[in-house]
Amino acid sequence: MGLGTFFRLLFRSVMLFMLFALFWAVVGPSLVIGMEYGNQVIDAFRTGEPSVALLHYALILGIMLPAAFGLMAATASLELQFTRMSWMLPDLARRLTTGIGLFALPAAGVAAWLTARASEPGLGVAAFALGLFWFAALLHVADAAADPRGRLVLAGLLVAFLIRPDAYVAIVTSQTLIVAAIALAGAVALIRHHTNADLRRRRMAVPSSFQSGYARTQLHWQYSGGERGSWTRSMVGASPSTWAASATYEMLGIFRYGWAAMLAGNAVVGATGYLLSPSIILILCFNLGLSGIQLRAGVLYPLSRQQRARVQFLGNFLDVALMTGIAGMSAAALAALGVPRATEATNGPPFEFWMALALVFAIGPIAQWARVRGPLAIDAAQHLGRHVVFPIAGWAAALLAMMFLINDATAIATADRFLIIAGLIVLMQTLHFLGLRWFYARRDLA
Amino acid sequence: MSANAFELRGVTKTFGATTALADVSIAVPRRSIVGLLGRNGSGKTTLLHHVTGLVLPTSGSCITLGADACTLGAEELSRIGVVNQRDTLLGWMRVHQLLSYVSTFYRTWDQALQAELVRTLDIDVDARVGALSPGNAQKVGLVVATCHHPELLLLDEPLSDLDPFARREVLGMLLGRFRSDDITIVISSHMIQDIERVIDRVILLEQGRVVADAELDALKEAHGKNLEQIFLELVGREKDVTLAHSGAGEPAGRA
Repeated sequence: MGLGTFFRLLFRSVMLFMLFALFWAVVGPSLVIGMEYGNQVIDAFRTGEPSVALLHYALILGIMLPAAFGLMAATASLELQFTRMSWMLPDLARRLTTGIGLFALPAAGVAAWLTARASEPGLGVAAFALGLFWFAALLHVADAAADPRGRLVLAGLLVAFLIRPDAYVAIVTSQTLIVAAIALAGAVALIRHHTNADLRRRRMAVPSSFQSGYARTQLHWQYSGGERGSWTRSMVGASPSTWAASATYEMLGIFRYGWAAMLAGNAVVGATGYLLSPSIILILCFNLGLSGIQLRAGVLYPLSRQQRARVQFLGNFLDVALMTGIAGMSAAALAALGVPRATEATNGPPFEFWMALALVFAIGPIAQWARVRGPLAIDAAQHLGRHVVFPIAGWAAALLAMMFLINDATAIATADRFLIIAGLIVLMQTLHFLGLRWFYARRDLA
Repeated sequence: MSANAFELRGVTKTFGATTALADVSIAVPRRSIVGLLGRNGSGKTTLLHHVTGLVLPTSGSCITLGADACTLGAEELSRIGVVNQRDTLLGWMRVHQLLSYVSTFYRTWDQALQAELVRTLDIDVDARVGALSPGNAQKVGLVVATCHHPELLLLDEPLSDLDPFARREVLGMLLGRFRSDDITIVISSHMIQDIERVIDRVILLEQGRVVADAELDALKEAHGKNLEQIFLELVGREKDVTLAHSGAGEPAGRA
């Protein structure tokens, strides 16, 4: 797989989600082994002294980083193989596997180097073998054509070790040689299996909607929504709010139920933002840019262009309100339950979290502009740049505003900072509405 | 009420460096069945998108059902039916759910006609839309586009995935709609022999330009040929000239 191909694939929506996985792979070990180890890990890394904290971090990183790389590589490679065309391309699977196998080396290498630095070279070699294994394991887990039982076992193993990192570290450090041998054999077997002819044949039959977890989740709720009943409200002369509800039905297949499950992801972001760092909440900008409540592009609804602009505005408003609302509610629930946050030194006082959340609401329209012509299709080949540029611009704008407003040197009272954000929300929503009216009056919708 | 169902006046449409329509001026009278012909990429779909107002002209204007296509309101749009070339149906719904959902958009939705078309076209209403064969999906698209008794029915490649029997059923259904409703039908299709039996007017596009816009009978009389031969003559001539100039078309090994 050439570098150009890799970046083309990286541009896809699923790959953007995978980048988040990579981000979590790097910060994740700190969450798994405990935030209080953070400073010990950094100190040990600086001094180069053997350290238990650094060893724990390195071994867990040896799971998460190769796993994230494996997931990214699998997404890129399998996307090409889930088409009938792929069967006719000679030796595609083997060449792709060889190419993506190269990604395993740096992922496993980083963890191995850190492990060796924290203890001794022998354990570093074992960490390298384990890294290859976890890379191959995620390659297999992400393969919708592979045997679901095998995928479940590997995914279960991954989750079990992340829940019990102490047990994982104990096994690896006490049975280093055996673990390394098993891991290496497992990695080789899984990568060989990846190019198996039967598996390649089955990949062609995987429906496009089941090729990624993102699409699968959406489809699941659409299907189950369809089973619950049809839309029965008359849309003749209906208000934009009724059409926005209709757009929700189209997008998610839900009308009366299912909200909680669909928005669970936002709740998780809210909770982690509250517990760890307010800047995490800015990730919602990317969700806002990729999909949301809106009518399909290129379909002739009995709605004038200006009515469609109003429906789009309302859908976007509902979207950002729901996302930030759910994230806020999950944080509020944690606060009410008295769940301890990370120290204020790393997390800041609670009002900073709420400020970040309000900033997402304010800046959201920038990210949402990515969907002005329609949501990003899972197999989109056009207008991808917009779906990258606008969410990043929104995220960067929110980050800058946060740095300015949260900065201790800012001589603005806390209450006034919230007033500034409230003004920003009004301004941005007004500009968003006017922008949509302008766009829908002057631009092609198909 | 305008005498024309729609009218394009000097419409040019460019997408970047590509000119999809070049100074197109046509008028389609009400109560006619028009065949919109042209090679792939000749601008047929873009022209239909102008009529519905989804795409705006770079220059010129388009009048649909007496109103500026750029500002079509709910009232005009609910008098138009469209079958798109590409799948725009909601794949996750069952057919009956889709019909029920779309019916809520229109005041004039005719449940009896829906039932009749479903029966005539042999559509399984319990099937999942996304699981339908391309031909059956096209049939569902036709039902969705016709049950609100549109005055203007725009069909973009409605026959491409249908077997000969289904094509006959669909064309028969369209003729039935034409006779019973005060309707204008535009069929964009490459199935020239099939649509020749039902259309009364032809618009032929080539590289975004109108190369023929006439009554079918007048066109046949002028050329003394059937429609497919006329199509090949009008469109193929330009292609032959291009090939002769470029040297393409010569067998690779001959040089």
